[in-house]
Amino acid sequence: MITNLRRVVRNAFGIYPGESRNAFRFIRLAFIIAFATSIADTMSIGLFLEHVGADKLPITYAVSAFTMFVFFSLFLYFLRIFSSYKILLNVMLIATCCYAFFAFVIQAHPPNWLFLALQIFTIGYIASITASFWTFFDTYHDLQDAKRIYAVYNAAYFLGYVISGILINLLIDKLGTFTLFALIPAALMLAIFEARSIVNKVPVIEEDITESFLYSGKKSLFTIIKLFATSPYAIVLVSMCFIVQTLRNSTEFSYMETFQKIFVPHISSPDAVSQNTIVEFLAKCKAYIAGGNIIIGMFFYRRMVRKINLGNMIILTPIYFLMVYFEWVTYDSLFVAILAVVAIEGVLCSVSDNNYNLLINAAPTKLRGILRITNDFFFEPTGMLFSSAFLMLFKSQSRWFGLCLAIIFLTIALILKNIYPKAIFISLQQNALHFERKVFDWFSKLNKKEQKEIKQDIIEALDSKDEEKQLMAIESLLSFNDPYDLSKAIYYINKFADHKKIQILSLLEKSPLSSDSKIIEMIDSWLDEASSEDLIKHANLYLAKKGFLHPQKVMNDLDSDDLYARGSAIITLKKSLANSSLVNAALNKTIAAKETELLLKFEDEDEICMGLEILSEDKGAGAIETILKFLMHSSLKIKKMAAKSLSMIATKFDSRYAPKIIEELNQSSDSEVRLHCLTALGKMADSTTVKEIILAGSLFRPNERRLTETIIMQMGLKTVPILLSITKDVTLHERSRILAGKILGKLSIAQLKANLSDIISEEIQRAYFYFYYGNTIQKNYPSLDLSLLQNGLVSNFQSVIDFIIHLVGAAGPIEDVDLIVRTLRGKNEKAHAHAIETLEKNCDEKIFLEIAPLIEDTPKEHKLDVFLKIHEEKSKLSLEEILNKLESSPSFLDKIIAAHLKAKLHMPHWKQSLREQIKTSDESFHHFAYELLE
Amino acid sequence: MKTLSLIEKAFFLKKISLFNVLDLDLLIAIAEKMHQDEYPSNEKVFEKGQLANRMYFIIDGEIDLLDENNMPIATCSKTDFFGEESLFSDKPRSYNAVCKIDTAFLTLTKTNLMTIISECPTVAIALLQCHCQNVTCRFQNEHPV
Repeated sequence: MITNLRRVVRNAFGIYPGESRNAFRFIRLAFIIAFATSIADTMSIGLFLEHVGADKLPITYAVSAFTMFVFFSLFLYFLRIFSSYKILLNVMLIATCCYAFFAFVIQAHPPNWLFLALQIFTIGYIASITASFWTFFDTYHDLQDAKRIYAVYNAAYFLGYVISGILINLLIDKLGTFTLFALIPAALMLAIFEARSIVNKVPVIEEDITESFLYSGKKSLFTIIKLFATSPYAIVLVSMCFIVQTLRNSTEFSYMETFQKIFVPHISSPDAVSQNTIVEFLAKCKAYIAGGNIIIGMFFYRRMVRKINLGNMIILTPIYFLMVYFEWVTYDSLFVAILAVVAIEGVLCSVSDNNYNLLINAAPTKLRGILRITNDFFFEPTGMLFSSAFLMLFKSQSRWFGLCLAIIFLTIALILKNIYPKAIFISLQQNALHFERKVFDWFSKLNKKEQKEIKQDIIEALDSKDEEKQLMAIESLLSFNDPYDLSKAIYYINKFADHKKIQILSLLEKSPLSSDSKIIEMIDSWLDEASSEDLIKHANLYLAKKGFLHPQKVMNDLDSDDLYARGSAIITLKKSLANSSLVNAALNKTIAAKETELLLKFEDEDEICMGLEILSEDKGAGAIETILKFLMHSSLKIKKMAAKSLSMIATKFDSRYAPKIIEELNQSSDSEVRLHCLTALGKMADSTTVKEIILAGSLFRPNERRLTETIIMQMGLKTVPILLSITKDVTLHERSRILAGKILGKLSIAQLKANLSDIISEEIQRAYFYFYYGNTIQKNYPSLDLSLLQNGLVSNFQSVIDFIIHLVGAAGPIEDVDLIVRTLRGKNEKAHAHAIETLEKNCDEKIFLEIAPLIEDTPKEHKLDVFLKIHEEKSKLSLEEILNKLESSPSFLDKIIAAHLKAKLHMPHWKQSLREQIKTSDESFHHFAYELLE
Repeated sequence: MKTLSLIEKAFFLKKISLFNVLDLDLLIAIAEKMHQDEYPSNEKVFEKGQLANRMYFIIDGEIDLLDENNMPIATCSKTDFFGEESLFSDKPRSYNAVCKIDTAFLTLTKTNLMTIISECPTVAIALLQCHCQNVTCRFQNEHPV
């Protein structure tokens, strides 16, 4: 009974099993802080209105704004030194002292300016406590937590407002101002204890984003401005906050004016019941509104976000404001003024503030830490200053001013709605490492000024004494592909020692400028000037490959003992641009072919490699056939050279050799060999080999998979049917299916989308099955050792989930699905929450709702509950039924686990069923099955 | 110390034993994720028991690694790295790291380190080699024979 009640309460509040205790700690803290803040807020504004008057509100806003700017600087400074907890603690301690002081001073009928000071302090205090309180909460929650539970915390916050409102309303005359003010420090002391208990008992959520602004280092206001300038999203978000604050102040001013018009004549009449009429009325209004806020926060906000999306939630508030102001500009009454109070105390607090807590998570990581503070202490006060300036000048136009602001608010909200999904993904993308980019890609992304700076750094590196650094600097300079930079590079290369020039030659060979006349001239000059034999040999080989050596001059080298000299001579005979006549050229080529053949007959690795290198300068089927023989060589060095040569000479006319290369692709464990083989297959561009390449891809590394994607995409649309059939085929390895799905998404997203739902639905069923039994099977059979089954089911679950996410990503606009999968698997909870948000924003709603319970960072018990809700009948499968199901699964691993466990547990008829399986299985299963039967 | 540009960070990474076999393309990709920071002398970079989410590569300066009684375990200097142990053990920091002199370093987050390892397994091997050496050295210092 109690358990069921707990579950109902948890479900109503959106709290997961095991989370209740910590959640209620935050709820208590929110409540207590709100209680104290609400008393401070209501008492201050009430006393201000009665002792100073509404017409002084604009000047109060202006002074408060300047005070906040000071607070902003202090906050930024302290955030770098202290944790969010210590800042919250200090804000509460300072407020405790100040309100205790006010409580005593107010007893002695102080001058009116003190009420002005009290109001200014309270505005500053509310901004400080709000910013520090939410920054503190952010330390313990990620975006998905925020969506689920921040509204509940907000509800607790409003409960504090309700209770304090009721207290003020009912007991202000009995308790008096001193007692009410004294309650503020008392409540804040309690909040300090509660915050302390959270720090001690609740684990902080991991946030390992390096570039966070608050992550140490010296930062200035200029740094913040620069950061904002890089994020249009952050600019729009703070613009909205600025407008909201301006609107808040002008609305507050307008309704205060209306209240004064209505209530002040009564106060001054002899029948006035109380001197605290406005305070009481406001407190009553705020209490009712806060009651509504609680209901919205606890029961509706979370569901509304799920139902209509955050993007649509953003525009609700400006629409409400617009409606109120359309009425208010034409007709002023207590009712419209109350609607305006609802706008400020209700809609802004229960919808807009909650929206803001979620929107802030889409800001760039570098800014996220300070966005709340910058907003609360800079942009909002600026809004306050702006509104106060306007109200001071045009008091009577406050409602028209409000209408204009509401229109601007709606416009900005619509812009924000449009850019939010992209901002979420950009924020996630900041974690991505771009291994696919080449040096040139990096440099081309820079603007001219940055490129100039980078080049300056490279020149400095060239002047350094560090050889490694100098080589890298040359490589970087060459990657700009700029003839002017080439001259610079040559200037420095010529200064290098001979051994370093040899290394430079291999760099030059890979450069697109390798045949540039300046480079050829430089290398040619080395032949005359160099004292190192090694350099001369390498320079000769380089020039020979480019065809710049004369056959007559190298003829004698054919008999040289030196391999490089021989190699250069053979290549020269093959490629020299100085071959005088066709007859001579043919003769030279025949000699070269014989010499190459000779090299390949040696047993020495270096000679064979030189032979293969020479063949790589060749064209034609004969060379490929020769090279292929060496691709299967036992020596890795030779194998690598053979693969490299193949990748250099393969053409689309050589596709008949593709099966042999694929065979090597399956057998080789060396990444370099595989990359060269893939390049060769790419050049052959035979679409009939797609399936074999993708099947081999199940063992590829990330860079190999990227290359596979590129080469298959180059084969074009004719590969689409094969890719689709691979994606659908559940008997194939998940990684191969993912690869096929990703390429399909890039080649023909329409085809993938058309089939997505069918493919995914089946996979989701499998995922739920694996997850549920992976987590319950051992518990249901405690006397049996089912660890193999358990681990197998859990790992199958992970593979299926990876497959689903990859496919969903491939069918959507997500550029880097690997990043999402990695993030979902990783332990960084904040990044995990972002990955889920990105999926939600970019995939079909139905599919997302189905997969969300599986990928969300929720307690296992909650996921199991979801499974039971959806698949009640399947929850009753016995061990034997599960094993039977695995036995009939297309997955090879499932079959093996089932057969092994059935044999181990001596289940009835296991031998008979295994024999049946042998009839329909492939050879790899036979080996395993016969071992079991023996 | 001036803020290193992307290419300077890549040049620096080439000197680190973890990354010295990687080519320039990969080094720049990694450098882009590195965050530069500076601490004055005697400043604590982290202390024992703190949650760990990044490792540090010293660009310039010296760092003392101290035990709970502030006794030195090891000193790291230019191109050394530290703080990687807790990223793998998922445990809080097991020693204090204090700047001996003004020190600048690049930091790498745990998430990014794991991604780099999955892309370039050689980094994991280099890390293991360095770690084995460090463990012995630090153990000996901690319990001198």
